[in-house]
Amino acid sequence: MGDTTDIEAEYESLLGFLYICPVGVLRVTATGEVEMINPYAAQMLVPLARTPVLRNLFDVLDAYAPELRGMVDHFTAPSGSICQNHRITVSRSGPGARVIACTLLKINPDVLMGVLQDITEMVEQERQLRQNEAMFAALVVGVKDFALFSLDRSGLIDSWNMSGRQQTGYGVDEVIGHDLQVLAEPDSDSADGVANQIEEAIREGWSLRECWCLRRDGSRYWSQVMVASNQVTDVAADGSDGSTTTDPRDITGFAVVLRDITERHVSGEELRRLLTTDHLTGATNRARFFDLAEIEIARHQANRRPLSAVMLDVDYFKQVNDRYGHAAGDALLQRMVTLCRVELRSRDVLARMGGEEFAILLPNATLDQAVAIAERIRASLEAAFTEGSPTFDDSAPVPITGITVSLGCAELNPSVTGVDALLHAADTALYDAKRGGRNQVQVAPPG
Amino acid sequence: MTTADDEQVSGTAFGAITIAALDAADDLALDDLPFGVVGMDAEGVVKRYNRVESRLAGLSRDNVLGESFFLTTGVCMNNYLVAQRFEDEAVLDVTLDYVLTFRMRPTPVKLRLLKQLDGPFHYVLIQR
Repeated sequence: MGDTTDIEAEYESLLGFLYICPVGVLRVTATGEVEMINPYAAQMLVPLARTPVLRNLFDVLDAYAPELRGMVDHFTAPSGSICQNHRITVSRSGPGARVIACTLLKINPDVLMGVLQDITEMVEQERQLRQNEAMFAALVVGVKDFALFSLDRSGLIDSWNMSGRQQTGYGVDEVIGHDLQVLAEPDSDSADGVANQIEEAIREGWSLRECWCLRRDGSRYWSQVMVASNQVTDVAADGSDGSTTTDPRDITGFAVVLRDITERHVSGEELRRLLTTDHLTGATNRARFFDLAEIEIARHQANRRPLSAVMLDVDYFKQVNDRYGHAAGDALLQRMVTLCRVELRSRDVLARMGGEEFAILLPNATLDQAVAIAERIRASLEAAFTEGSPTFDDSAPVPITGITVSLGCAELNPSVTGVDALLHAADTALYDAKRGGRNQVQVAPPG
Repeated sequence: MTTADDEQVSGTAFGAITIAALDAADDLALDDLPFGVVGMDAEGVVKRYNRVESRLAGLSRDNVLGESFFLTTGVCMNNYLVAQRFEDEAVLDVTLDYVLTFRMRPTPVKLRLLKQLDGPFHYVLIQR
């Protein structure tokens, strides 16, 4: 009696399993008559059937995959796999088409097992991937600005394409099988350079250098040459111990990017640096500071994380210029920026607002945290200009002593809502610090 | 909108029973009905499940109550023909021919879908 109950419970559990199973499973005869079918399979098939009957699999799918019946008929072996993930598009409405993958297994001459899966999402992902690949290919091959090609494991060019041809003028036959020297200017020091670069790419994974190169027509151009190694990813497969150092035997070849940068006296990076940083100190410049502050204020509004600012001004800076000269004053400002950065996080923005006045934007910092950072900066600068302290730089041409700074802190809050208000509040606190005797940190009065 | 020819149109017949009568019936009364009854709340969670339906599906009432019907035992009805109509339509009383998978056998049935405004449950009635 107990056994019967156990079996009944197991049977019910098995039924429950098949009711929930998120893959369509069914058993049909050789002619497609459905003998068993789980609900997920029925969920997919019933809406496809023209009449609400589900007797024959091939009848239901005839309008979408008429080939299915033929595939079964032509499979003459007594058992085996008739098809695996055969794709059946069951709605014809463009990119969003629903697709079912059908696997049929012949168990014996009169029994087939079928598995059905809705792969609509996967097909859509594949489509997007192909589109991305096509866009990437168009980007790389169609561009005139650089060439992308590959080397075999011994460093000889083994692929060449339109991008290489446009860049250098050389055809396939003239470069395949040669090393990178074929593209370089003969009397440049690049012969060693090519070997060194391959070595570095093997050792480090990639290598970048710049040299003069020659086009087929004899004109020369200043080129950036990037070589990156392609490695077999399964390092353990060849029996190595799995250590992270690169074994040259794992290198399958190299990818090379060649870029003509002759015309770029000022590279994009250089231009960006010039536009966004203060020429003297390398700190962020005023214009960039306001851009970044707007971005951080938008972030603050989106995620409600705190945002604080600190104004910093050098005490009695005019006397430094008067006593030591302007060059010393400039050097002092540079040193101060370096010292401040030690106390700041990577996301903090240190900007020179003009003269000897700096602003610091502290994302995700409360007023208390801003005060703590300001106090660290104050103490660090005071120590750096105190003779005998560990951070005092007595190797400078003119060791400057006794320099201090005053700082004012403010936090964005309902009564301080924008960049201007935030800086004004910090500035007010800064003047409190000045009036209070300098070399100190003050906080903007609430609201 | 069809009803079986041999069916007596009475208060408890498949084609005639009202949603109010189903709401009023206790569990024993539901068990006496000669067709399957599944009652769900607005989220599709099974609240009522009668004996005929339990026998047809091969599942005990205890294992079904509290489960989401269209995600567990009623997966084969989770499409635009059935589940979607409960979502889309405020009031339903419709009978349709359908194929269910009781114990994994394709089984032709008649379904009656019942839903009323502000009712505590909506029902799927199933007649083999």
